[in-house]
Amino acid sequence: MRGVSIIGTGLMRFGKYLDKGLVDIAWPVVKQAILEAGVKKEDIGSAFCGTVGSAGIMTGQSILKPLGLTGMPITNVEGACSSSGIAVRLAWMAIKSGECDIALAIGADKMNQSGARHEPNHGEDWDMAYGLTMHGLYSMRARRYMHDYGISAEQLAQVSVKSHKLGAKNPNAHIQKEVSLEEVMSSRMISDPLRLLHCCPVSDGAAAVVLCADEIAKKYCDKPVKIIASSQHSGKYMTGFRDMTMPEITQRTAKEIYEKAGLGPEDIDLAEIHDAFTINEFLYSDALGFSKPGEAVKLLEDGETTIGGKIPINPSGGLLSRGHPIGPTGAAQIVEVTRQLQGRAGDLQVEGAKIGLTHVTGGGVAGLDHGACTMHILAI
Amino acid sequence: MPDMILPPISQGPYLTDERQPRLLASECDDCSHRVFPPASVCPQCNGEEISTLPLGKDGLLYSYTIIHQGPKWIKPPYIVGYIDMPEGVRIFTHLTDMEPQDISCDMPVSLRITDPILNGDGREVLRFKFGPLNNGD
Repeated sequence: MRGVSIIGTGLMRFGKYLDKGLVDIAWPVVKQAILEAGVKKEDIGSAFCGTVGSAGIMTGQSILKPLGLTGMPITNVEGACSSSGIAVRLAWMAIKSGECDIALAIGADKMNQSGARHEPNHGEDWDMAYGLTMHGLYSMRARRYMHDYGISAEQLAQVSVKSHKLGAKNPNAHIQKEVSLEEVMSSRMISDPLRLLHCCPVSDGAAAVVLCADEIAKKYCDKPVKIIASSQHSGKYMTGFRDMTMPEITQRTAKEIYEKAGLGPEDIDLAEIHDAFTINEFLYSDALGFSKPGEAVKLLEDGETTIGGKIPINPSGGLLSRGHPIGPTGAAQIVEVTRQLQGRAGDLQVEGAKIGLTHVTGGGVAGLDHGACTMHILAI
Repeated sequence: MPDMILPPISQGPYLTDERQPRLLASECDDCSHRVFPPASVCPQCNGEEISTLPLGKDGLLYSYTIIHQGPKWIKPPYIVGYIDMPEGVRIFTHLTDMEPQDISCDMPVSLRITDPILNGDGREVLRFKFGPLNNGD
């Protein structure tokens, strides 16, 4: 089947937009991506919108209407934190299958508004119904990881220091401010051992990507970025014991995408991974094969996960600094990696980067490691 | 965050007709797969012939956290954790009778019936917790 490339990207600064609606903040991001791609509106054969429904139903139609981008199939997709990762994947599949030549993938949500939720709210989920939160879940992962590998709260806090140092240079980051180890360690406790600065901010935002068939990519873009592999999995329902230090959904998705791409973790030049909390960098670095189990902390302490290191993890500042509006997070990662591979990352450029990886996982469902995990490997 | 709607297992999944309360799991009659909280269909073989399996009182604390910011119907801070039961199921639960410095992964814990936790409507949603073994047993 034919290949698929990214030819246009749109991103905004994530943050709190209390005086604007979701449509108001999202359509300019879509316009940005379309202008960058230089495609005509009528050439977009299909659109996919990843959202957790913070603005209700028909989010994609509502965002695309002001631009007159209507008439083609518009598919809204919910996959918790993976929503727009899945939207990009669906756009990739639509082009691969020959259903269309050009497709649009967007993500949009406003989490800073009454009623916005990011966990199952049907009351039938045992863990959530009895007071488990997403930060509580990751705190238990952190507690077990620290127990098994002898990691201290200070070592965990260093992830936040690194993230904010990078995020301070990212014009699209929600938090553009460095933090010291002392500030992280003295910030308000949210869910022991995770303090406020161990957690991503609650953000609003949108991101957009225009994709097309490889054979027409050069017509629109000097430096198209190829999607060389895409993988998506759901967590396996396990009623018994499960190793919470090795997220099985990420491990399976990683194994598959490396096989599809014919690459290994050693071939990746940079990665944008799902660091909603500090512990995530350790969990997912291990699960993605950048480190052996328990050794992600050593990569961090040796400076290998920042710009200039062996495997820069979240050079954008990640979710911890760029923010996490849930729906658009996956597409935002793909925008960041695309711009890195095109050499457009400014002060955060990873020099010579040719291959990048994105990873979003999420959705708290009792008994599942996560509801959904989506990964992409991009190359130039 | 809006109030949580009432969970379906409002009275708690324990036997009330025994002197010693027990949490209940389900066990598939065909493939013996066990599920907590009890399931009406087996996730392994999809059989619907399911028996009730009373669990023992004791388990091991796999991991835990102290939540300082949760749904508004639970007064923070509150301690929660996952308990690995010898019958092979893992239970998410609240923990009680513990000081933060005394909690550790893999510590033995046991079931105890507690004052009910009430949801936003004042209705009972949870009436058990786990506490340290050898404390109040």
